Amino acid sequence: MEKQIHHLVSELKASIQEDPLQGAGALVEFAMENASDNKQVHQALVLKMNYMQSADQGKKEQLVADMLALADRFSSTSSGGGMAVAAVSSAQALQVVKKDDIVCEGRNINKVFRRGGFGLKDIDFCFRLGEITGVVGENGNGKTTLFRIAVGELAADSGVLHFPYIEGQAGVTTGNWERIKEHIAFIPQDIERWYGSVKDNLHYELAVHGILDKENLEEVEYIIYRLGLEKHQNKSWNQLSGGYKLRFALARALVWKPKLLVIDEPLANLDIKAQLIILNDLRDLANSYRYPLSIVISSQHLHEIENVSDRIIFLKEGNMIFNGRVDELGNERQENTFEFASDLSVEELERRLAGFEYYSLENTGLAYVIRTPLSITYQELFQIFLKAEIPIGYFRDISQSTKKLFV
Amino acid sequence: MDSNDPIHLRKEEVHRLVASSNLPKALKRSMDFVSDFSTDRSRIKEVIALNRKYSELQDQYQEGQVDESSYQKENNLLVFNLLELLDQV
Repeated sequence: MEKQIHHLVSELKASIQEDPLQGAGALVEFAMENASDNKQVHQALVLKMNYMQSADQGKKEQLVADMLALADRFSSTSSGGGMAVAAVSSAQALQVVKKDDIVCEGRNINKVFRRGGFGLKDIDFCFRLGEITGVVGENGNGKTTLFRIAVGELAADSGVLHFPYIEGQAGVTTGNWERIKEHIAFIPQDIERWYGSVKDNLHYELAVHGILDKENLEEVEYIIYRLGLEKHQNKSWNQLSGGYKLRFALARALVWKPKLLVIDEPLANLDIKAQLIILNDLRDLANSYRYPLSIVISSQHLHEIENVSDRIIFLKEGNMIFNGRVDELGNERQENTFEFASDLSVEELERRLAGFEYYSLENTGLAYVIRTPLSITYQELFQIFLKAEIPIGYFRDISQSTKKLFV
Repeated sequence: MDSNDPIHLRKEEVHRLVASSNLPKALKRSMDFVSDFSTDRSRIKEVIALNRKYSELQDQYQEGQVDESSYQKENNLLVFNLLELLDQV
């Protein structure tokens, strides 16, 4: 065993000397697998972090020497199996909420607006703890109506709406909207103006939910740092950008730990970086072990929403066209659909693609959409484009995306 | 240790974020970790304090109030404290 560890350490050291960055990664992996002491794991992590951050050659050389010295220490102290373990974990005793519990369920929900005649028709949905449901569809197709019904702002004409998980909580009886709503947070597309500072509003929000004193102070501080509002906590409405207004709205909604969070078009006015941060945060928060929540989110940013969601609902003219898991999208398709951008005209594309079997090629205004037999994969189509010398700006397989339902 | 144990997986996630030098995300996920798995509320205060310290350190560094060497030293100390805190949960 000892011989084996010595051999592995020699290989590790060679790897560090040959390519320090890659070697630093190997050092971390080795430490996580073999270190007998958590401190050695921590040292490996910090050495790799410092190597990545450092631009100074002299410092990098010192870090390589430190990495080699740490590797040597593994030879003498390694346990030879299994990462070091904390002595006692208080977390072992933790009782957690069971994920997948249904928070909100709607069956055959119908709603018709007398003016204009628009309505939702026989909509079914099921929002579960720990899951993100993305609701997509063009503007005016019923997303906001569906949200307002789910959160109790609008009554359906017919159908059944219930909240199994919430109604199972102490003091909440079936149909008692006043109590059910205590577990639901709704962030509309147009966030209402508020007064005072970010921090004061969060304290107030918690107080309204009966959380006072020390707990109020602690929870507000937690959510401020968790959502990156620390530099903005004393600012007012006028001093916040659109992205931070949304962050504040999220903080205000999450600070009292709802079970259902419904957000209407949160990405509309955010730049790409802000969108990614918000979506990553939502994913992490939905997955919480102790306080999982069900998140329902609508957006026109299909790719981003599909990436973050577990389930997708696609609405068209008030009808539910798709309702299922993201990985089920397109499972029953009869063709493949690809989207691409090219400077060529439709006529020129058709000329260059002569002899290649495809069902249709259309220009959507911003890009082309080509439909092919199922047997054509994106790799094959890409090869065909290369052979036909078709210049491509971008290329995306949308066969299993709601995007193809829009084009 | 069970490699599917959520505590192990989540701690490893923070370790990988630290190793890839993504400290802002590592700190956020540490807050989630402590909130999810600690039964001791004082740990929440500790993780918030580390976040506060990180935020202040970034500001001081950007405003030129601390030199590179002190910044690195403080940053490393903060990360060691963070990793130790996770081990104590």
